[in-house]
Amino acid sequence: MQLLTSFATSTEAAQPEGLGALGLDVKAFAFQLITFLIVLFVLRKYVFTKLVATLESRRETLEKSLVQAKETEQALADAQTTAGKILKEAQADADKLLGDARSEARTVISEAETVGATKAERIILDARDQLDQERNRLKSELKSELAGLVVAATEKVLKEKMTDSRDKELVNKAVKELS
Amino acid sequence: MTTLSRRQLAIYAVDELLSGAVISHVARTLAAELIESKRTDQIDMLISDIAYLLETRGEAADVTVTSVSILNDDSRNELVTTLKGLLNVKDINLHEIQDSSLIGGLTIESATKRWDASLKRTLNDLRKELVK
Repeated sequence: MQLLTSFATSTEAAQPEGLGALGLDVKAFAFQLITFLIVLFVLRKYVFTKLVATLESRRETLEKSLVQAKETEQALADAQTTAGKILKEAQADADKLLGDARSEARTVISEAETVGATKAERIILDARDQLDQERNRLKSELKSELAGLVVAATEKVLKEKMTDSRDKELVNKAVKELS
Repeated sequence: MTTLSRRQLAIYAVDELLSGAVISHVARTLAAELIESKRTDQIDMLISDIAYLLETRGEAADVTVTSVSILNDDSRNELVTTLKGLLNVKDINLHEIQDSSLIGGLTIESATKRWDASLKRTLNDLRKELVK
């Protein structure tokens, strides 16, 4: 670089001709152009490629990210839609279950009422049977007591009224009946 | 030694008695058999069996009459005659028992038959009818 600037200074003393009259320094321009081209070459070879590659990869990454973001957004939207559907179905199932449970409860209550009524009826019938049995038993006992009293009374009277002659009459009658 | 059954002993006794054997001899034989076979507790049943056989063979009947008072002779004779016809036997051996619980009438019992013409039975029948 120092070499280039010293060469540019040594040429400053000459009188400008041609393009120099226009105020354009050809040598400086040439050197600057060469410098520019060298810089450009170097940059192009060592910097631009990598820079472009990096930028390109960044761009690709950004693009991928955008695509992913879009996909994610889409997936979220789908998930929300699915969640909404599932929620609806669950709600419908819950409503159905509730309805079934209520219906079953009504059936159970109704059956319990029927069973209760049947049981009550059976209890009443059993009680009636028992009362009838008790009444029959008492009737039977009363009859037996009464029969015993009647027979005892008759026996007593017969014993008092029985005489030898009457006894003999009975014996004779019995013997005649045998023959 | 084979043990004779009670029925066999009864048949033996009846056959011996009807063929004219002495009663005491027959009784001794029966007693010996019963003692030998250790069946002395069956003597009453053996006597009943003998009476039954005698009655069914038409030979003699052992009859027990139970009444409240003693039978008079007419009643007794009539009863014996009637029983001979009813039981179809040649002879009646009458035993009389008095039992005031009959109240009136009489009961007659032989080995094969029984009659109850007492007031006690009549009252029992009345009781059964009243209870029905």
